[in-house]
Amino acid sequence: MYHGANSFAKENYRETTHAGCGCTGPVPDKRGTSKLGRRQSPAPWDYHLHPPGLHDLAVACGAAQLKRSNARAIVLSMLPMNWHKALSLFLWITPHALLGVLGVILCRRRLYREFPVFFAYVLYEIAQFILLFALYSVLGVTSKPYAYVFSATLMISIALRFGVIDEVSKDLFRESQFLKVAARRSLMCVTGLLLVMGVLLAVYAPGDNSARWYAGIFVVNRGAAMVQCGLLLSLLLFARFLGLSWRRPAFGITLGLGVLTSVDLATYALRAAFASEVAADFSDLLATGAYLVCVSIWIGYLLAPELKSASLAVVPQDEVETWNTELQHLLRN
Amino acid sequence: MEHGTAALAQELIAAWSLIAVAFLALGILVYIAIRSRTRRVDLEKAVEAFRSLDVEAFRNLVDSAEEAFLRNNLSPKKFREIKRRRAWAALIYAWEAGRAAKALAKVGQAAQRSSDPKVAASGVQLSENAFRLRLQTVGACLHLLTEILLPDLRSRSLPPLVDQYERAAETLFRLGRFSSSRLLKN
Repeated sequence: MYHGANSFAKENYRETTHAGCGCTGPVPDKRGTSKLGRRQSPAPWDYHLHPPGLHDLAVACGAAQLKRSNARAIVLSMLPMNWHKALSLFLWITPHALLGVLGVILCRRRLYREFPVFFAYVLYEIAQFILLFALYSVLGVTSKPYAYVFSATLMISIALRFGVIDEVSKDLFRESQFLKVAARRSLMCVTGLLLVMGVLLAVYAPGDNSARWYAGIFVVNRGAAMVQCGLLLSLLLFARFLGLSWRRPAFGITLGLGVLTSVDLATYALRAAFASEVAADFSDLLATGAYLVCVSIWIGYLLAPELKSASLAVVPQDEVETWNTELQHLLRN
Repeated sequence: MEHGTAALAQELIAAWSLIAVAFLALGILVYIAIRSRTRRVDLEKAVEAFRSLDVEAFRNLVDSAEEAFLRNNLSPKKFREIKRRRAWAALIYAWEAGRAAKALAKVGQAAQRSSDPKVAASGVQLSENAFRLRLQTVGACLHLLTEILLPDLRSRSLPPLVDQYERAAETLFRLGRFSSSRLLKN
């Protein structure tokens, strides 16, 4: 997921953390010296999250500075920064490591046959992470290539998530010919409605009035989060309303993605409302934490055995057939 | 300056609305996740739902002749009041029919997973029909809601709807009676 979207859209945007569902790398940083002469700052972790380790910090601060000030106070003031950086790194790397575990589970339980798009999505997320992490390590987030790759991978990720939603809806309605037509038609209506709402939101509350391409990406991503969240919620409510039974993997995928998209929607809105660094930090951690929760939900549900359905000892065969005959009679009339 | 303030206020309202919507969605997701842990098909509950439908009372509530009589003999204000009450009672019946169909769908889906192919095939058909019935009750509820809000409105599509729901209620009632007798025997 594209995190730090609003920061990305700001002129002097700041470092953001690295996890998420759509685009999982740090948001490209433009604070360095540019051709336009904008104020620039070092790579994100050099800005307020220093390089790893107190040793490096001490070097960066310089011995003279340490002599002038209270060393203990400086070290104490640095600790929260390192804590934040450690947490950011943890939330960027851990979900992707867990995605690797998820990929193995999908293979071992042969679920990739039933959920090929979701499997592709998981593999794509891992590949995207490797690519962005490598780019970050080599070029840093200030580079243009990083920004382009970040945006391109984000768009593909959004498209894949729509594919995953389509896949789980097909799985939900797999046993009913009637619902395959009726429910999917209803879902298309819901999609249309949500798209209209997304466009209206983009027009009336863009969050950033600059015409930069990354501001556009932010708006697209926020709109996509809204549509996806709405679709997943509709699926869950529709299934509950009709008394449809989910298979555990499909339910887990839907639930995880639902949690992720709803938190994403909230974080994008938070960023739009509050431009302060503290708010951005908070929303970053919220979004990346949600991604970790999402991947954990997926693993939990894909590992769990299928719930045993109700015993049919209480529904004798002739009784089921009689009910069926009665209902068919009702519907024919 | 004023325009800028208004735009900022608009963005803030939109942002807070989105945050509220997002957290509402999250709350619903958590609720569904918790509720989905208890997935049991309660046949007795389904039977109870069917038995709760009083066909005669439902027929009376949606009877167009009865409505015409009330319209002719009551003052417009009193008629609207009575019509609203009748529509509300009918709505509750239709809602209960929908719940019964939902329970039936669950029974059908449980039957679908049977190792016996005959039971499984019957389960497929049973749940298909139950899904149809469930969706039909939604249409009826919307119709009855319109009647509650606009009691003077004469709906042209009401008679077939009434027929359909009379049949639905009758069938469900018979199903419930049949099922409960089976359960008593067992």
